[in-house]
Amino acid sequence: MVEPELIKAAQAGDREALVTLLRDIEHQVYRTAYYLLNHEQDAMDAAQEALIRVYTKINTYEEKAQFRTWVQRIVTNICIDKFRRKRPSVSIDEHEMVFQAHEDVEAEVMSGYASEDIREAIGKLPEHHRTVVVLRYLQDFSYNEIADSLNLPLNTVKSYLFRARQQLQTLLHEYRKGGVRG
Amino acid sequence: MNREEGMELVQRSIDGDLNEEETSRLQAYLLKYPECAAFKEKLTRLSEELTQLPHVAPRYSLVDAILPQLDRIVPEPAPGSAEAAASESPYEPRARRSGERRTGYRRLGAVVAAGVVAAVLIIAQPFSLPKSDQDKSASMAETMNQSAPAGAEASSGAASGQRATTDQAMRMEISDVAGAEAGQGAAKDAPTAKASGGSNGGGAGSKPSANDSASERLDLQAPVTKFTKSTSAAGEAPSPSAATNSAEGGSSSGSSQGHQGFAPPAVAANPDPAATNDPSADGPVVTEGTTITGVPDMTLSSSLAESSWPSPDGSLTALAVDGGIRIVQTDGTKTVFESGSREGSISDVTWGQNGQDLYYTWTDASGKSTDLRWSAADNREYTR
Repeated sequence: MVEPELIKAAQAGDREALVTLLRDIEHQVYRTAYYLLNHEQDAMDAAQEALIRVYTKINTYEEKAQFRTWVQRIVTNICIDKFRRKRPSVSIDEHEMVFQAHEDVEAEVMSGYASEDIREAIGKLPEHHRTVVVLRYLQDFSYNEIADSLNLPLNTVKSYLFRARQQLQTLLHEYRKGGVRG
Repeated sequence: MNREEGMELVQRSIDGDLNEEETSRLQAYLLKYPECAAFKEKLTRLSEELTQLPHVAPRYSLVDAILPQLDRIVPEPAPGSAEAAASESPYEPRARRSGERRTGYRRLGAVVAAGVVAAVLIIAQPFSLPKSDQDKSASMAETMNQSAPAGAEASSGAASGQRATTDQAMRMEISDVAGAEAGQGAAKDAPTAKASGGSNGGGAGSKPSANDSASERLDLQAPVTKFTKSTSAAGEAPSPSAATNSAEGGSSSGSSQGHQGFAPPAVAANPDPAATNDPSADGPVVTEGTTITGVPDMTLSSSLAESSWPSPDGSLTALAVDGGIRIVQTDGTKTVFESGSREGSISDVTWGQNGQDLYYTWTDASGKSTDLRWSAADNREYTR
């Protein structure tokens, strides 16, 4: 959670505060970019672009919005722009995952679908469904926060999320049937 | 409760979005439809797995990577809102339309808007389009002025006449600076002008007018450099540095400072590029009868083809100057021989095969011809 004082200091022209702010949001920005673009290098590029945009636009942020939804709006817009320009998405074989709390996460993921299967299935979703899923599960956003980030009506967010889950369910079921996972 | 409503409750229950009353209704529904209960189980499991997706992190600090960039960026001022920050981006609600259709409309709108703006500009400023050529010319002139200070005066002159645009003012400034540098003898060499030396047939015999195109100015500058080189070859320029010579040549042509010897204007007489591209034919490029600025007595009696004769090995060049003969080292380091000025003209100039003798005919004012010879052995002129 980014401290409001830090944001104010950054807006007041404190460059150090602004850089600290960027460091605070760096991982969450990258995470969204990574799951939306499904490609490590593209995610690095998009995340950097998003951080630069946050840096340049920090003074346009207003407190009436949550800072994290404002940030996610920036990064999702950049990613959407990127994957509209670059279809289809790239093979997942190209990247290595870098885990935080590596061992625990891996153990948990191995208990169900392979995380790679899930990531690949997410990558096959339509862009707006994918974005909603990523914000819901990788940023732990509520319906309202997703709606704020994407500037979508609340019911649209729900609709996208519900359909996305159903699609994922179908895709992962097919993976299992096809022997992708045991 | 119908199936659609039941499925929505299932979905919302996964997100913990149900109140007590809705939870009770869902339980009643699932009891009634066991297949929906199984579906809820699957979705719940999927949701748990989605929640457990690895929180990936970048391999290196992205902020550290962009810090150099950030150093060059100044955050934009405040006036906008969060909406403004994000509204630049392409994401828009798609509740009613497909993304493709929306994108298509936006593109179409952009094209139409661009067309309208272009039409307004053309109507409002019907004569503004040719200015782009002027701008281009100005831009090229700037480039030339910066790279070839020797020609700065000419460009300055070109700009001084009729154009009163910002571009012109800019060009003037640059020209002035370049001219000042040339005047101090501090100007740099003019490689561009040298490289285009073969095109010195353009702009013959006149200062560039305000309507000259950039390419004309470029052509004009070429002979300046070339000529300056010849000037130094004539041994009159005091500095052995070609770069300095160029600068001096430039300043002389514009400011009428009188160095002893050639201080040529930016003119060219030989329209044959091949002749000037040939290093052996490298000589003064002047118009017949031209009076050299700053050296009033120096009226040349012949054009390039008649006024310079390289020796067979190219090391020396004979010049017909003011009725006399002058022999210089072609590399410009010194004058080897000078007969001095005399009334009349020089003709029939030929080198001996070994380059040790030069034969020529001097015709005086009364028309009397005298065959002469210069001998390298004792560096003297003899009557043949």
